[in-house]
Amino acid sequence: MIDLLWLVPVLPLAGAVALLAGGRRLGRGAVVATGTGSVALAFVVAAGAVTDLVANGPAMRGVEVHLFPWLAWGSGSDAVTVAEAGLLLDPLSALMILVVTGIGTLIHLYSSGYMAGDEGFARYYAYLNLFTFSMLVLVLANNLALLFVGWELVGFCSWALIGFWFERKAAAAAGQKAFITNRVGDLGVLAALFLVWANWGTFSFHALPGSTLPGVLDDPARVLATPLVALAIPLLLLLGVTGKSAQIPLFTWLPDAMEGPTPVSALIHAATMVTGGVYLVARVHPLFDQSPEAQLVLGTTGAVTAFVAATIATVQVDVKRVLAYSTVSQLGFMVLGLGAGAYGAAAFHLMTHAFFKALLFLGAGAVIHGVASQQDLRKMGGLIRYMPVTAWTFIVGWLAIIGVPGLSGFFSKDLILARAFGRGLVDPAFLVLFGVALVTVGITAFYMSRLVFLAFLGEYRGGSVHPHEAPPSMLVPLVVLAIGSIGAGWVGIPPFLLGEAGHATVIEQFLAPATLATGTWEGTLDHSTEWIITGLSVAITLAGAGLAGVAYLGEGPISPVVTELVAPFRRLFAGRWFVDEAHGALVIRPLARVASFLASVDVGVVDGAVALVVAGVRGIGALLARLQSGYVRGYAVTMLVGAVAVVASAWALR
Amino acid sequence: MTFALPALDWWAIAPMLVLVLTGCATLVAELVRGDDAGRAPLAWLTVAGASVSGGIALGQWDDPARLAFSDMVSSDRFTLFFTVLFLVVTCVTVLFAFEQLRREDFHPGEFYPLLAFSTIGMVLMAAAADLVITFIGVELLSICLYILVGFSRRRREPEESAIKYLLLGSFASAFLLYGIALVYGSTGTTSLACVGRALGAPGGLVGACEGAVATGSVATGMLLAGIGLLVVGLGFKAALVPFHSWAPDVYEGAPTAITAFMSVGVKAAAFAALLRVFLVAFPTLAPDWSVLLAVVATVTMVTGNTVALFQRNIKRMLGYSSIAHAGYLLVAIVAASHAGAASLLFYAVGYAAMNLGAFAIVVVLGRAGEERVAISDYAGLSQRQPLLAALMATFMFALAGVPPTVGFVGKFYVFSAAVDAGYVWLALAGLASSVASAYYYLRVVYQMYMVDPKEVVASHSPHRWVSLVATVAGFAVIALGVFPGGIIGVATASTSFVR
Repeated sequence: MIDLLWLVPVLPLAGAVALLAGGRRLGRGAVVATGTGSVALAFVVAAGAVTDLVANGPAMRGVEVHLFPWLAWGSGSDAVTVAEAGLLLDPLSALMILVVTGIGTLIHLYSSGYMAGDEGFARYYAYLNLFTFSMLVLVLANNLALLFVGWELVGFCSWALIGFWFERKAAAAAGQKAFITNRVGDLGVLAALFLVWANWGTFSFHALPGSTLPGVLDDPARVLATPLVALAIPLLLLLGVTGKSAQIPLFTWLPDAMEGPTPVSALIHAATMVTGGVYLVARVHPLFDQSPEAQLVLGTTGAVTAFVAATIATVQVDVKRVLAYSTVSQLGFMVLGLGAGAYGAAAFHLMTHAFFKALLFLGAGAVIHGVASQQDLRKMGGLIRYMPVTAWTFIVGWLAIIGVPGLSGFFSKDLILARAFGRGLVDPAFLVLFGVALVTVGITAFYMSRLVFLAFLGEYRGGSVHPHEAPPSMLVPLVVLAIGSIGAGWVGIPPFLLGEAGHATVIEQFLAPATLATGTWEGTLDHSTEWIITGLSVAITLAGAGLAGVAYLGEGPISPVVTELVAPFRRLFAGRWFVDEAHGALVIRPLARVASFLASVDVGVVDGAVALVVAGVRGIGALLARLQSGYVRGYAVTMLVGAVAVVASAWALR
Repeated sequence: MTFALPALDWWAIAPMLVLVLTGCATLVAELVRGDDAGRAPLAWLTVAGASVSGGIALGQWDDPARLAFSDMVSSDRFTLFFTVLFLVVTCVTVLFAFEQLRREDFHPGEFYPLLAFSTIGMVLMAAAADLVITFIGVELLSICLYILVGFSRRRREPEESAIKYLLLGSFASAFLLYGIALVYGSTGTTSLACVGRALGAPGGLVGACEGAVATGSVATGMLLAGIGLLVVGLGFKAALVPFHSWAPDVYEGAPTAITAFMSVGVKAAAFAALLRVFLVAFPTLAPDWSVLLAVVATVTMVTGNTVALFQRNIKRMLGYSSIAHAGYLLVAIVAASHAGAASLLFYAVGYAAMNLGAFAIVVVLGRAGEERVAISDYAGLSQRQPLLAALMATFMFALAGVPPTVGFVGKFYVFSAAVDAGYVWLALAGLASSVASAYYYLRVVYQMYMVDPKEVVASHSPHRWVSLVATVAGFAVIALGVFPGGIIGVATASTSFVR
């Protein structure tokens, strides 16, 4: 079915076009059938194609499907294709299309219940389908330029879907913020794109230096031109990653994006789009492998983001914001894995996270739906009695994310920890990052437990609102995702837990043709070290959860000494480490000042020049000046000055 | 005594001749018909003339490239490419103006002929094989524009901006003429190809170069001053910084149809002339002028994109936006390569689609006596006119360079030509400034989709032709972004004289 791979993105696109064209004329049933059906069909085709790919055997697991030449130079038969519209199916993109279409189908289905009462039902589904198409373009593109098209399109869809409820001022503002912040990141990707072109004259992933994809031209001449460029390209890409995958310093848009509908948060701002940055790095990992410095920056960004976002999550009272910061934090784990060169482990965590975070968001949506759009944790409590299915599936998600042994998060998170530690044996800085990540595991257990305890246990604090369970269309996806959140990790059980020799997990071996780092560390921890790391992380998880239990389930008031002690931290975390303020003070306001200076120059130079000229020639020219009208003289002076400057620099610059 | 008439190649300038006839016919027709009843026929007469002219140009596509009229004009694919582009822009302008003339009670009898004659000026600028013809083209275009810019009789601002444009335009023409004189003084010829040959450029279409002084590819001071003054003169028409001061005022004050015409057509004509002059006459001096133009391009992109952030009037905003786009186009000339030239032609087409589309929406939303050009007038448009809002959003995203629109692909071509020519820093500067541009384009979209309408406006039915233009432009913006191969192929074939 690999020949039909083009159908995977085209089906959701066709759905979007049909929904946009049909609009309000379509009934709700038809809208749901078109929207969900097209993505479900895409999942079926994707599954068929991936089955064929697996049957190919490891050496042949990189298949390109050429559609049509896109960017080309020259005319007629002399035309040279720069970037084609072509798809690449390899283990990495296979994993991604299954996640995108699979989880996408569930979220489409869930939306039919969640958005049932909304006016713009067809429009919502059209955007959702368009998003699915864009994300599939991003992960299936066989070259960097086409990937960037998907990269920008998902940003556009995200903007449209965050602002979907534009009656809410905050939603509209959040959409703007997300788009503009991401444009800053996109600048990095675009610049990297041109540097790649300038250095190798290609955008094809196959032809990148050091590509491990099967069938690569292994040309030793394709090494990086200069050390500066070798460092610049990955760092510029990293800027894009911090935008799309919400890392420091550009992460602040993601929590604000929670103003959008909850299924959108689940699909775009948890499971798929925000992992685009992680996917990008894994996709072009040869460029990162060549620069240990860039890898260290990447790893540090990830670890610090994971830690900072987790601390902020501990003081949030809006259930969706807790999950948003949790997403930022988990993405940080993935980026740490990328920095350690463990691309397979990062992709594995990306997959398990897609399951449990989609589950948690959809569960939160079911809660919000059941308590009359209340999002404040302080007004919930005891919901397990009113909405048992939602509560129990949510608890599965909770256990998965904090890493209780046996559930998916346990395997993928520990794999990243182990790989970071292993990298630390070569590059000691990673030992520090490993430590930060380990502490973050404890904080994660704390804030997630807090969330569950406050929402589902204890007494209901919502007053007169009577909570009710969600409709079946919303519960079915929850159950399916709960099963996935348990089982998705089993493809990554480390050999030492099974008592087998070796280090690489099944999923890493599967991904190896696409993600195996060349020339870097390949995993040489002995099994006893791996046992210790796992033991440590489980112990810290239990400690974090236990602390949350003491704080939020315990009887009686907390000692004032403790309250006093944590107060400054609460302020720091509640202020979100003042990153938004730092943006304002360090970037936005200075830039605005420069821009308004330029603007005033554009008008002011004219006035200034006039004043100068007038002052200079006042003696003889007073009469002359009076004869001239308005601004024109000023414009003319500008031109004259410009002309002199141009002619002078024509001499100077030759 | 026999008087030998030289064999004139009338066919080579047939598209222009048709336009001359069209302009004269509209003048006469207005006299014959007299009153306002002639409005629609005059518009259709102009469109018909432009269509015939364009049809001839398309028919000449496979004719051999040649010089005509004593080596004064080139009849080649470059000329034809721009001729067709200008004619499309002119037809669209007629459709825009038709709506506006009715609304604002303009006098059509002068409007359409002036438009036809200014189109001839633009074609001459693209076809010029001699600096003298370049100058004549610029003047023909400018003099028609001085009147068109001030065409609105009801309001005072248009008159003011017309006077400004006239004064500054004359100033710029003097620079241009002096530049031509200095080039002639240095090389002994005004023929572009002969100047090129004198400076050591290889082959190409060259006529008889009597009097040309071969100087080799070493630039004298006088020649460099001449080149600098040519940059000033043509840069004024293209609205390059620092010769742009007139543009925002004029764009704001002129009737919207003329603003659209200027920001797309006149700009393209100026760049056609710049490309011909710099890549036919001065290719061997590229090391001397490319850094200069790169600096001008950077300043233009940065100024256009930052000052646009502060505009509240959509025509002014689009004015600064078009300054920024002039900067992108100049990047293509800086590359001084065949790829760069082809990318310029591609960008000109893409920019025409995006910008004409955006102006179509501005025209549709205007009403008699009130143009409704504050960006806040677009508040809640998506609720009243969802299709128009969706089209406008498409144009704004395209102008911001978001894929998969032609705005992205065009920038891609232009900047990658610059990168290939070694101007990585210029491409990065362009990218950075285009990122800032997203903010002001998006503000329009924000108003349309995320702000409630201020007032309840009676939804008047938009003029169907202008809406048609917007729809076609919307399709073109997407289609050229997904399938750019056709246009880039034609653009490459049209610039084969560049090496």
